[in-house]
Amino acid sequence: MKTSYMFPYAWLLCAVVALFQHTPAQAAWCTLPDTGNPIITVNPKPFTVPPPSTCLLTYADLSDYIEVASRQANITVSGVVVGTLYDRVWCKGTGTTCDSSNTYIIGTRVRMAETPVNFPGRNPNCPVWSGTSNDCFEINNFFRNIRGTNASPVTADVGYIMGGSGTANDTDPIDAVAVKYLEYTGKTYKGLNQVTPPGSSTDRDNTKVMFWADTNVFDPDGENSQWSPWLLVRQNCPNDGGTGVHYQLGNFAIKYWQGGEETQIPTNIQAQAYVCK
Amino acid sequence: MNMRGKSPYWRMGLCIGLAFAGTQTALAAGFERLSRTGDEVLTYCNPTDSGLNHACRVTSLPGEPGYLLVAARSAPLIYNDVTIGTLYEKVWRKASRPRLYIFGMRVVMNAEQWDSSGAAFNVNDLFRQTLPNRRVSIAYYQAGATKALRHAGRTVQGLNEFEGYEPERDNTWVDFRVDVNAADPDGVSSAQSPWLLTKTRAPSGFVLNALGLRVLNSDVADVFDSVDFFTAGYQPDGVPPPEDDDDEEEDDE
Repeated sequence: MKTSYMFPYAWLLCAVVALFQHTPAQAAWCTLPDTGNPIITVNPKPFTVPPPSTCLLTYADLSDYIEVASRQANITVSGVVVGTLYDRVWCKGTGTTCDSSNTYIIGTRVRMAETPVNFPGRNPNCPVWSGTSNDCFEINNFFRNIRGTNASPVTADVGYIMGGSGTANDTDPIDAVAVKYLEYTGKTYKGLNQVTPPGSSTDRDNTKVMFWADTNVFDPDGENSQWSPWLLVRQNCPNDGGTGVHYQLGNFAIKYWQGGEETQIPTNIQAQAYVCK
Repeated sequence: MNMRGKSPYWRMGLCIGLAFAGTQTALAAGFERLSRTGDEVLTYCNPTDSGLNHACRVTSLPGEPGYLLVAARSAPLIYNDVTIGTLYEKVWRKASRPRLYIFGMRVVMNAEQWDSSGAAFNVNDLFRQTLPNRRVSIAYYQAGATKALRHAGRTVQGLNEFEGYEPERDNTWVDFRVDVNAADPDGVSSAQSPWLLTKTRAPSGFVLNALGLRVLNSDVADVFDSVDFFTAGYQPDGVPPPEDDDDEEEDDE
């Protein structure tokens, strides 16, 4: 009799253990609010180390996803290449087949250039891009287009990955490790010195996702982070009118914002990037 | 007697002399010297596009006689990987005083979409570098532009970049305030700027600086929506590089 009751209890115990084992990974994705204050806190300065689990992922959390698109492009300011964009698209699926959930992740990370291609006497740590400043270009915020409108928002989950098994100086976008964390994220088109987190409803823009991550190869604050983390946004990207197209390369779909954290010149640069159809 | 006999020639000579002097004065009157000390940085030219206002205006290139064209170039203006216009530059050197130059530039903009707003690029200020310890005079040649030069001054602060009436002085830069837009929302479009002329000494000649010109688009409701970029431009050789912020702070102390 006792034996006959033991099996259900053991099964339940295993199920609970399994649930707890998976809970941290599942909970790490952050679902962005669609109403009210747009910005949520992740790991702002001064950084908490080790970082809290908020929005924090590892590559293992992408094991249910297939990479379906990949590109890299120059980040150009005033005709000067100041960094490289790495852009990826993953879909939920197995093998080589995306499943019918239409769940897509669009992710990006950047690497800021360290080679002084011009005016080495002005700054030997990076390509100088300004006629009035010797500072290296610093990205404080990344913005990208997402599905949804202010009237009809579409759920968006955000996660970030600090990198892999490499170092902060690595050149491989999978292995390299970011030094600085994702600080804030939310559905807004405002960044550093434009909005104070958590912002207000007037700062909301449900057509954009904002990633607040200080990325600079030679930062005046004394802590360099040549690589940004992988900055991921997950949404439902339906088959566009039966065409089989779920994503595309969109013009001005990503924006880099240098907000002037250390009195740099506020500058925004927009470029092509992947977007949900 | 002799005087009378010579009178017609003397009068004719006087008239020719005055006419020549008058012509020289009219041509040279276009150039206005910019201040290089004090709080009054800006020199006003034609802020209202008045046809009656000829301040800073010249009627030909380079605006004064005796100059020889020594360099000319054109280059695309690119922002966000989009070609938004073309820059034209010319450099003239005075034949009789070879250290004296006139640097000229104009931009011709198009209506290509260059950011997510969809608006055409609006040029509010064009900045050029000069030697800070040399005098600078400026002028403009309309050359078919719909809108005139508003004002100029030795500063690198343009529209909506300073409070009050005068920007911060920076003698390494000359600002030309214009309003150039191929599809201006104000209803009056001027796709091309006038020729914007900078007369100054360049004892060591001139060079092409990869970041020597600044283009500013700042007629926006939120100052953080302003955009600017730098592009290559001619300038006198020897313009000092920008100081680091740390250096400026030390100077202030």
